Amino acid sequence: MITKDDIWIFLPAYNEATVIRGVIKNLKSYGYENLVVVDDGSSDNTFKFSKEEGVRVLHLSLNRGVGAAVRAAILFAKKKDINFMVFMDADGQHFPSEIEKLVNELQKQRADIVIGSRFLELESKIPFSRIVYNKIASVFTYFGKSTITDSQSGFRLLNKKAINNLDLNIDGYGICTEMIWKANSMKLNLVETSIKVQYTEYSQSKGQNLWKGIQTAFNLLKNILYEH
Amino acid sequence: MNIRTFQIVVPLLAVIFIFWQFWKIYNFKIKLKAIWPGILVAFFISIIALFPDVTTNWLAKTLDFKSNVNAIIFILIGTLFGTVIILYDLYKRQQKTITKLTIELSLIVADKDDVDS
Repeated sequence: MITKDDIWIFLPAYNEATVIRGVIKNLKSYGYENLVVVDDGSSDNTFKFSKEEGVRVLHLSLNRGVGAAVRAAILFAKKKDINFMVFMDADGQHFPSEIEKLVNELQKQRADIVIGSRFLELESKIPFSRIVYNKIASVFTYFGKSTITDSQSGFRLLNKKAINNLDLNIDGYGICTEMIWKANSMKLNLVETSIKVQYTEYSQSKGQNLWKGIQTAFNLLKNILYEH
Repeated sequence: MNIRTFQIVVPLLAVIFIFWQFWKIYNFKIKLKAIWPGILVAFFISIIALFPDVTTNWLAKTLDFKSNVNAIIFILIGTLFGTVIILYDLYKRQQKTITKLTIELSLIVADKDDVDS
């Protein structure tokens, strides 16, 4: 039985001062107390506001990309011997109520990683540019012999086995695909479950878009060439 | 054989450059593996400057170019391309190191915060 105290929630954040307080309060209202904001070198008040909300903050002094924030979070989890970690976007597009869905799927399927998929059942209105971005990124995910429908989802649950075994290298958005590739190559049990998301004007102005999709695809390609 | 000015100036500059690179190694500012491309280029250019006709004609013949000028341009473009790749590799390594250090620093600070609280 996994309780809320067993779960640590990590919010990779870059210049999210506008929404970070609300996101933290929302998570706390659902009874999640183990919250860590991974501040990826924000130039606004993300760090200050997160501290004021009384959560732990992993502060990257330079903006190194979401991949670096995820890697920092995983290393932190390894150090603290955390059993379950959840990654959520800090822009408030994910619902805390959906964490339970991921946990249930993890227990039901004895999974090591559960990815919240926006495309498994189209429950939310997703902007066209995000759909295109995901399709481009998915092409690269398929190279890793994965059939995950939402390879770029930032809503993920990892168990201890995944935390201890994943050794990620990419700094940017390509980390989502790299995690799937490496999980597959390590024979970790990777499953997905459908989630709802809310796209506000704010969240659409942040995060991924078509241009970033192309950049991510090129970065992935460069990383493959660079590493092999 | 008439010695022209560039046949003295170019090899001299190359020697100064090579000496400067080794001086940096001596002072622990740089590693040997980082200077060999520059030294190779300097060496190559000084050889061409010392024996312009012999070297370029040999290059043109070896690479099957009609003109020795074309052969030199081809070699220089190749060298430029190689240098870009090497520089990109160095840049990527530096980026990775910066990220690694930034992550490590954030974890150290988090540990310190835990101890303080």
